[in-house]
Amino acid sequence: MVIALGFEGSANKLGIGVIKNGKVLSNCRRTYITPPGEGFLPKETAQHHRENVLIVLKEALEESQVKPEDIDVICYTKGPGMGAPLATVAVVARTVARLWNKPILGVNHCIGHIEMGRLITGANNPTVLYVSGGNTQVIAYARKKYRIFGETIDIAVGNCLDRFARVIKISNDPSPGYNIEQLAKKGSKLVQLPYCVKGMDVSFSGILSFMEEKTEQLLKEGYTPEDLCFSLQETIFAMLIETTERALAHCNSNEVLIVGGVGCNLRLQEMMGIMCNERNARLFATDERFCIDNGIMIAHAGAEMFAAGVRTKWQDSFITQRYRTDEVETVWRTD
Amino acid sequence: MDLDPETNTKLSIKLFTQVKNAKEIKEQLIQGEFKCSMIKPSLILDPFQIAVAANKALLNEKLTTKTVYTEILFNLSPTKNISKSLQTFGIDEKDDALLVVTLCKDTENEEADFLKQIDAVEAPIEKLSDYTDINLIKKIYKINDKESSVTPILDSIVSRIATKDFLSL
Amino acid sequence: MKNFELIKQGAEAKLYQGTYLGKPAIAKQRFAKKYRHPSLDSSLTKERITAENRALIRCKIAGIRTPAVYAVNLAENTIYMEHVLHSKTAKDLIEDYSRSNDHSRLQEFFYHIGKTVGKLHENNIIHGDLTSSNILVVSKHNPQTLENCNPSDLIIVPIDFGLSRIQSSAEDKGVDLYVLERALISTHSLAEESFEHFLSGYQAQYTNGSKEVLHKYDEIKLRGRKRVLIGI
Repeated sequence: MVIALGFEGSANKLGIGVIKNGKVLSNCRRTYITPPGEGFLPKETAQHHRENVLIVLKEALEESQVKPEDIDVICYTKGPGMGAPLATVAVVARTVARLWNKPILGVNHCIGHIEMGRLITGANNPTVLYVSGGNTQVIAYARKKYRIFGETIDIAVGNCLDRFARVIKISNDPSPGYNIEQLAKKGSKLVQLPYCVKGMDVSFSGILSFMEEKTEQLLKEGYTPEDLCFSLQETIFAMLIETTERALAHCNSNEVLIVGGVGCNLRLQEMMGIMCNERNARLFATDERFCIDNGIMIAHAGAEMFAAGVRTKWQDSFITQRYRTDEVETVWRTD
Repeated sequence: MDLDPETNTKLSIKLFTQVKNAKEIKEQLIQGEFKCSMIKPSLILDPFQIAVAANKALLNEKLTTKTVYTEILFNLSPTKNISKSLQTFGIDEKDDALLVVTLCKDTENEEADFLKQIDAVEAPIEKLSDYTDINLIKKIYKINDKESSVTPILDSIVSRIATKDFLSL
Repeated sequence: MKNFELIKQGAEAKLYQGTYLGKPAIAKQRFAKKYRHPSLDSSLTKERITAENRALIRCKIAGIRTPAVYAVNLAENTIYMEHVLHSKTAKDLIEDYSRSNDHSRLQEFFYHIGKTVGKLHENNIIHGDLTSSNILVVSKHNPQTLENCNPSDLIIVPIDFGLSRIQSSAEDKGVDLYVLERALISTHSLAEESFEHFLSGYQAQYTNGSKEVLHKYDEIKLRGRKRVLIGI
């Protein structure tokens, strides 16, 4: 029986949660929201996390009704992500570990998403599409590692969406991606955008620069912002489904799991569902509580690792901005 | 020989040798009196080459040339210049051998009457190789030695014919 | 498509096996992707059929063996092509060598794949989707059998050119190599240690230009590994 406390703060979400044997006891979160037209910068994001971390921690503990002495392990995001926010949250994790005299465990953020997705949906051995502001990867498990079959060769899909939101000055509240999704529902005219798939890899920088250059002109030509959101989503999601399908065919897999912040987009889920249906595969997806960065996913992946005997030495409990999904040996998986 | 089942069409290829009246035949052909393509045997390596060109003529929704029979000649040719294609692959007044290509629907079975007007000896199609000029073929289809050392020439030819619309040669 | 039997449902095309114009043939039919916007879908399908046909011919001209094309039916989005008989995928051959722990043949095979890819790039053909499943091998001397064949006796037949482009840029060639490397490593346990042999074959073939491409390829690899994950 493992009770784990998880800290996440690799980007603009600060999340803390408690899990007990795969049961979510609490999952608390705060998001740093910037004004329209602006992205989040490391310094300000770290400051947001610093100001809120103790409040969220208190909330998570109270909601879970777990006392510090009952906790078995303190888990935190080791990376990948933005340095300053990661460090801010890791410092708090280290402090409480010392304070309560508990072991500490550094968790790979991407692994957190995958394991949480598997736990919530019950997917067994899925091909994973991991899509967020910082990551775009098609992942499948093989030989004790989550292997990256496809990924973006430049910017992440969420980053492309966020930056397009800035181009047309859409609100960042609750998130630029959510607002693009709502506008896209009202769009209908498809603009032909660059479609860039290379094997199982994708590229979004060409689409973004096309949008940055042409938006003004397209609006003048009679396309509405809704049409542009629609076209952008239709194009980049089609690229993601195509590469996921290619990986699915390559691995002979029959399960797809979508994780990461962009993964709660219902149009993406719908398109993936159609593809899965055609291939007799099952789609697993989660809602914003678990798709968007959260503390519970770090707690859960950490608990799995802890139960399998993984320990982080005190001197190794640092953070790293670059930390590949396929660097982690998945000792907790027995298949 | 059967073409794509969708076309419901059979292809027939006959080889005539010792042709004596090529000039008259050609004139009548141009006037549209013969429903067939007449092809220079020297440029044909194998009946399959014609099958691919004829099949393509039937599958295409739109013809580039006037009739399906001129289309076969056009398809055989690697160039998109119509008159040059017909000139290269069609027969000359002085030719003493020619290939006659006819198409008929699966349901019909008519023997083309006009064949009698060709003053020549019909030879088995296996004799085609006696008339094939491989070097000329390689020149016309631009097949270099690098290519022919790994790819059978017939494969090179039919691939060019089948994909002609997509090539920007 | 009468008398054709479905043999494989790939990600974007169904492969059928049968006889066409009297020859053993494969019909590759691209199907509509219902998840994709219809106009986007049909323009992509046409684009890919065109790309595939162009690359198949361009490869032949460059002295690379590819399946012969027998017909293209645009109404059906189907290409009828030669069924390369007595062939095996590079994927299966690599697994054979790996199972029998035959490192020297495996390395030699990687070298030959490298030469073929070098030849593609020398001729500015970017495959766009290089994997060990998209490469076939047939025997040079005895077409009937591949058993106990030495890698030097194999003809390497790249296939699946739907994502291909004609492009001279070192960047695109570098991405092509990167895509292949990752596909190999994620599929084959011994690929990582053998990839250097691929690269030496590549360099041996592509003498004027591979240096620049490999430089780009190293750069692209770093981009993947060291990308700062949050873009501002």
